[in-house]
Amino acid sequence: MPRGLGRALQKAVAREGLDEDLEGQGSSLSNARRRQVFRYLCLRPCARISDVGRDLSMSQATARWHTWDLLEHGFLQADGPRMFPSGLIDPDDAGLFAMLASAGRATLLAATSESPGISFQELSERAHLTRQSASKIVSELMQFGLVSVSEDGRYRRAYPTALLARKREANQSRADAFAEGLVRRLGEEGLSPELLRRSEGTLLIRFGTGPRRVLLEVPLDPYATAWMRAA
Amino acid sequence: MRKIRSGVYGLNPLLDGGVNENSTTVVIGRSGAGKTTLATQFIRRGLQEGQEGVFVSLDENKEQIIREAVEMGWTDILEYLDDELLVFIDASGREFSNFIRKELPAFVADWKGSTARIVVDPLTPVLWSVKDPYEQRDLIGYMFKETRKVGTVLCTLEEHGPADLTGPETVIPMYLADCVVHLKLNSSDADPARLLKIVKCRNSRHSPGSHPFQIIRGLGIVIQGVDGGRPATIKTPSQLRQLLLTRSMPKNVRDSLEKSLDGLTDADFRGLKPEEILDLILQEYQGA
Repeated sequence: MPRGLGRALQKAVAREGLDEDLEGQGSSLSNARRRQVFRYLCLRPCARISDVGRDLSMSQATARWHTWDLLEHGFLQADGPRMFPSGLIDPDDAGLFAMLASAGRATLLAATSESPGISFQELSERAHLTRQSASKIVSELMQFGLVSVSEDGRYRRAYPTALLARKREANQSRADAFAEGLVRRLGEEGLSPELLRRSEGTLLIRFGTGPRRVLLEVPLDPYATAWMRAA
Repeated sequence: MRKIRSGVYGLNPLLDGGVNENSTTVVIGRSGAGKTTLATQFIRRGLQEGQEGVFVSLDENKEQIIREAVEMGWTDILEYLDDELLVFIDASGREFSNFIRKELPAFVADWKGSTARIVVDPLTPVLWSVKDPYEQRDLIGYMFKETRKVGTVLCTLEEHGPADLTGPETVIPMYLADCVVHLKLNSSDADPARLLKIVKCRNSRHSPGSHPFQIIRGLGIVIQGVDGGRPATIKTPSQLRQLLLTRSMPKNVRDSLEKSLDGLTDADFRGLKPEEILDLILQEYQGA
């Protein structure tokens, strides 16, 4: 057995971030920033470019440029101005994800899911919105079938529906195929991908050229991650 | 399963011969109970056998642990450090849970099959890094499962809360570990009493009792009253084997019982009498 395990572990622990560009221009995902953008859109399909830029600390122009490249190479698919990873979601749900990516929607959905029967008053407080704005957003969520509303005396209360749970469940086989397709594609691009971990919600792969290898963690559960931690 | 020597005087017989290779041991105890001393003895023993040692510290700094080892008289630690056979990793203040999820799988893929001894001291900050108990279980379980592939792992765990180890922070790692050693320190007396108990040890016939121990300069933890040299006696199983022949029972039952007595010693029966066991067996199979 070769020696040096301790030193190697020390390096692995000390590594800050995983972002390194790979040599050559062979694949879209050779670029570290582009991997971040791709990962972000797996987490929140159809996210707004301004949110992508803000959350990843890059300019909107940079974020847009990377999404175009990913789109051109088939890693992303477009629905109007919004983009999502090809094959990760049902394309018919692009509108749903675009709605969830608009300001306040995910927050109100998460609050409703955490506190079923939450009043409109509480919802608006939780999301720092006026009653009118909260009410408008709830009716949008209702249109997509994500919440239902009941009158309780002078209160209007919001309840989550089971729609997203059903969609999430139904998406599992699509996510499996997406993960397999991604690994296959990286292989075809000569990046020798290794599948390191496949858990329920994520895929961890390592790939690269020669001795330079990078890690990519791909979230595979968009019907949950697009909104769940927003509250 | 291969046994490796623990490096703690008197501990191997209590663990049925030593620590199982590629297993995870959790050593739990309050501050000052001797956890880091035990961990250092474990690593140092491996170094003497030519195994690499890795000491991942999530709390105290490297200098303090090395100083304490040198004060204990274990100056050879410094040479092992110079030769990089022993590596200290100061992971305090780092997002160790991120490391476990992302970097650890890649590391294990590269080093699978190694026989290093790895200490994580203490495991407690890893538990604190995630809030949800389900997530804690997932993280610790994953960490144990992966690190076992590159060596034999010993984690220390700070004891908080109830003395019977039922606090949530201790239950999860104790449940997931292969072996759990509890170091008890009774400091209320003028003369502090130290006790070591093996709470569990998978695939081993471990000692059920609490054993007094001392920490002695130069030697470290020394457990009292352990007689590891005495050969095991098999009086109870052979008597039981004789008794089985005198009673009537289905042949397949007798055959399987006789087979199950192979390899058992008196220590396994802990005072149970052969006649007592025979009565119970007969009751079970009466009319069957």
